[in-house]
Amino acid sequence: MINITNLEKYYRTEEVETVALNKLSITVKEGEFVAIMGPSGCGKSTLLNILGLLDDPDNGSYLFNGTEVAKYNERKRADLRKRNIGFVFQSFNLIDELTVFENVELPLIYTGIKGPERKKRVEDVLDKMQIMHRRNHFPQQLSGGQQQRVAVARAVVNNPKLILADEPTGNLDSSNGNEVMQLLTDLNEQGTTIIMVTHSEHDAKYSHRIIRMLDGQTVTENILV
Amino acid sequence: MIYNNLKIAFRSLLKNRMFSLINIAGLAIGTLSCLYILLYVHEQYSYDKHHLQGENIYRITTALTLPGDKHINASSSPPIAPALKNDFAEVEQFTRVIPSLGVSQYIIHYNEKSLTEKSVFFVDSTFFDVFNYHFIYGKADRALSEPYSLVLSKTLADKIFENEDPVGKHIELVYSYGKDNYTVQGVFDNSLGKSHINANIFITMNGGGMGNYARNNDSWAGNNFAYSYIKLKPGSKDSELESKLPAFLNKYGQEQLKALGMQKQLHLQSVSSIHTTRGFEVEMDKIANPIFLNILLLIAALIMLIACINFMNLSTASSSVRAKEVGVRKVVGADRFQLIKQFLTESMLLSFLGVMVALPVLWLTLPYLNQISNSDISLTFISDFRLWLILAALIIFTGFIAGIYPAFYLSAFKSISVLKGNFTSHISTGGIRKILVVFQFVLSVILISGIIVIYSQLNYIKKKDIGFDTNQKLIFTFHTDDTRKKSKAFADDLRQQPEIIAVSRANNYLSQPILNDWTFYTPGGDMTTGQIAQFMITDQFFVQANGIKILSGRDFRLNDSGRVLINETMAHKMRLDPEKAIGTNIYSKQINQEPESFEIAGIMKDFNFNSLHQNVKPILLRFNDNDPYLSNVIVSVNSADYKSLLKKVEGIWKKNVPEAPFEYSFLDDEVQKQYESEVTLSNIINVFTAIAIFISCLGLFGLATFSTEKRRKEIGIRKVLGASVSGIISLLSSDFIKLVALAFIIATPIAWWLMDKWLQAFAFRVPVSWWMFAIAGLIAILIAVLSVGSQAIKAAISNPIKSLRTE
Repeated sequence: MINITNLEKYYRTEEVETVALNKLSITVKEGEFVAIMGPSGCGKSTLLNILGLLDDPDNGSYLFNGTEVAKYNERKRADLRKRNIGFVFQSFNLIDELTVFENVELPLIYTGIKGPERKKRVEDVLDKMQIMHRRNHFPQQLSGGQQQRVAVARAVVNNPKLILADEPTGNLDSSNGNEVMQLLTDLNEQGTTIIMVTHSEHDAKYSHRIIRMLDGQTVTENILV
Repeated sequence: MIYNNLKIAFRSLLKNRMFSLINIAGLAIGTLSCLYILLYVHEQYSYDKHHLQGENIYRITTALTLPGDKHINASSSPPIAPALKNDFAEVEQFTRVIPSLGVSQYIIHYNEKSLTEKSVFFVDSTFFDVFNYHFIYGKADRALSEPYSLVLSKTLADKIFENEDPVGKHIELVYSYGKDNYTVQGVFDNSLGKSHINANIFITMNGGGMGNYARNNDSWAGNNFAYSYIKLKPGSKDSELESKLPAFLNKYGQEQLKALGMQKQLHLQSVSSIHTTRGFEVEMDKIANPIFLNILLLIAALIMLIACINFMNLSTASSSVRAKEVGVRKVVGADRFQLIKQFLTESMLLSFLGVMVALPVLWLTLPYLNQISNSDISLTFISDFRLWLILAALIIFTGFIAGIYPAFYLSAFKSISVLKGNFTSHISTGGIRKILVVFQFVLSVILISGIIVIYSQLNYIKKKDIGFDTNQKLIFTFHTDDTRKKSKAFADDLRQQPEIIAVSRANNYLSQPILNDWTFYTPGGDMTTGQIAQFMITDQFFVQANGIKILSGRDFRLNDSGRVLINETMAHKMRLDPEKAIGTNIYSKQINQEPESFEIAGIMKDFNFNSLHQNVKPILLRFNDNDPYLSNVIVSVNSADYKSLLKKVEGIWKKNVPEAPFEYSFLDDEVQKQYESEVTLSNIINVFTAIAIFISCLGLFGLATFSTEKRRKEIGIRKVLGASVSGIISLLSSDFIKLVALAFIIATPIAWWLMDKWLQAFAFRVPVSWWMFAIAGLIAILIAVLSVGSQAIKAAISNPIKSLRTE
């Protein structure tokens, strides 16, 4: 599903050039659950942003389902992103002015799904995430675990083939964290490919494979399953 | 999508209450001003647009060249219009409109009722063939054909007949030259369509008196007192007819023109443009200066722009509030265009709310706005669908102007950066924001300078020595033949009072338009080499009663008939030496008459008998204390107790003229009336400047709040490290003050240029000087300090621990 080869990304300030990704190559198959680990600044978030088409690489190739997307423009990237990729963040990133229902509905609006269909799909996913009773609440009225469940609901409502999770349990206590990890595992079992950046060895154990990074390169890969 | 956008727009408005309040207030006040100005200007341009085939109706105007003088008159000689219809097939119909020359008011008698009216016009019976009026009673087509018939406006008819059908009823009109009975033949609704002919009574010219005089007048050169209109047949070109006019005038008027030493050209002016065209002398009604209307439109646009700038600046300054949302929306699939649409929806919603607030406020403030702009715009516009179109356009346009830049700015946030907490868009806004603030204050400084210069000029007009004394002067006007006969006795009685210094009778009082002018020439000359001069007819007390100074020679004495007083300018233009001119005869010759001779008794120091817009022109006073048309009594008094003096004078009036109401005016008020349009301009500019400054301040206050909020941590650290309260205040204020100071530097030359141009309209004007702009600058800076200061002080006295803990 994902095939990146010799991917490079630099960050430039006026005087210094920092290498974030250094000729990185990774392959992720459909249906895999991959964890990416490494110290702060090793490039894992940069990698996730490029995989999620939020950022573009300076060099190298990125094949998404066999299509070269490394040189896509902003509009094409947005289009591909909204149809195929869901995101889960450490800080949830829900929109404070929207209710639970509206937050989850948002990706469907941007994909152009009609109202009645949207309602059905949002309700289905809220049901599945056991957060239906909170549908009219605003994010500030929810606990962290509940907020992350809403974020996961929003990530999956469009039935994406790929979910990118950036330290999804980082802001949660262990019981809420476990719940979220269980959600992701369930999704993976239903066929969704998941790539997760994490600092937590415990969370990483939920995955099939752990990629460890240092200075913009992969150092080891552990296959767990 | 729109529903979703609106929903989030509402919620974010509610969340950022101060931001919303500042914007809605600014946009509402802006919309209110803009809407009122649009209605006002629209009304001015709507004059005479309601006539059927109005595009074919033209007024005949006259360009006159006389020895030493040039005029462009709105009026023309009486025989011209009928001859045009006679000579040219393309002229479908003509009509003449003759205002009541020398008649300041008519007294209307109906049964027991008696009321006065000033807007009375004599017109040809064809008047309603040319102009369209909606008749409530009677029929337009034959309303004016019978002698002594007239048509009334609904306003006046209601006053006389109280909603009865007055057709066929008789009323008596009493005026300066006599009285006549008339039959009412119709009533028109004057609320439908405004016209430069602002009449309450149209009297047919098929009758005696003025009608008879105009109908039989065969003067092709002089007597330019008729307003002449023609209606061309559809498809005829005015330019073609205009090109034939020189030959036409030559055919009929060549000899008369030659005899008077006059050159004359006739022109056609489209009737719908009359109310908004400047430059014609002797207009029938006040015209709307198009420059003034354009200034108003500009002010409306600027006020709206200032309100839009507030929105832009506050949106970009507070962008960090929205950045995360933008990031998330992009991540879940929004493209930039969708985000731009969302932010534009928000700005449109704000401008919609602005309009919704503005409408009821306009309704409440309309009487006040009408008062300052000296107009009568009514709320009937609410039912006009065009108003709603204008409003819709205003909402969309304002929303777009205000929203487009923030929309581009906010939608440019990179999702990965903002989600990491880095809230800088790749478009830099600090600079643009500063430019916009400077721009707002440039406008404010220009407007404040405008207020100061206009105020100084009006003050200068009030205080300037205009060569005669306007203080403590009362004016009494005798409107009818009968009462005028009693004016002499009234004047004699007044002279017995110790508080009264002088009493004079004259056909005009100073500052009143002088309609009489003749050409005068010195011995050996003739009418072609002479000098045109306006003249008044007075008794021997006029100079004394008005405080006019005699340069050489002497004032009038009793039995000075045939003698004249001339002013310095006239002496100069006639090449007469003031010292030697005394006793010299000057002459004037009217058509078919022997030359008349006048002996110069004295030379008067120049005085401004016209407004200060004009230089002093030649004027001559003719002595004749037996003239039957000395309608005005000018009384110079010296009293600290006006109340008891007026009571005494009222007693004298009632004794002498019991049949007329006791009415008087003050000369200084009459003189100031010449500057009504300047006073109106000054009132309007004052109000809208205050509005513009207020909106700018709102914006500045908002920006100061955001920037203080943003620098809370910095302020905390500075205070912990020992910064003083005053140090913090100056730190926070100085950025804004610098911008206002820069605005002052940019605005001054622009304001200087504009004000100098405005002052050119006055022959006598106050010099533009630096202090006017210095005061404007100081006011702008003071206003800025007040808007920014409160926030700065709040931040400076807050406990630093609090601000540091929240970080």
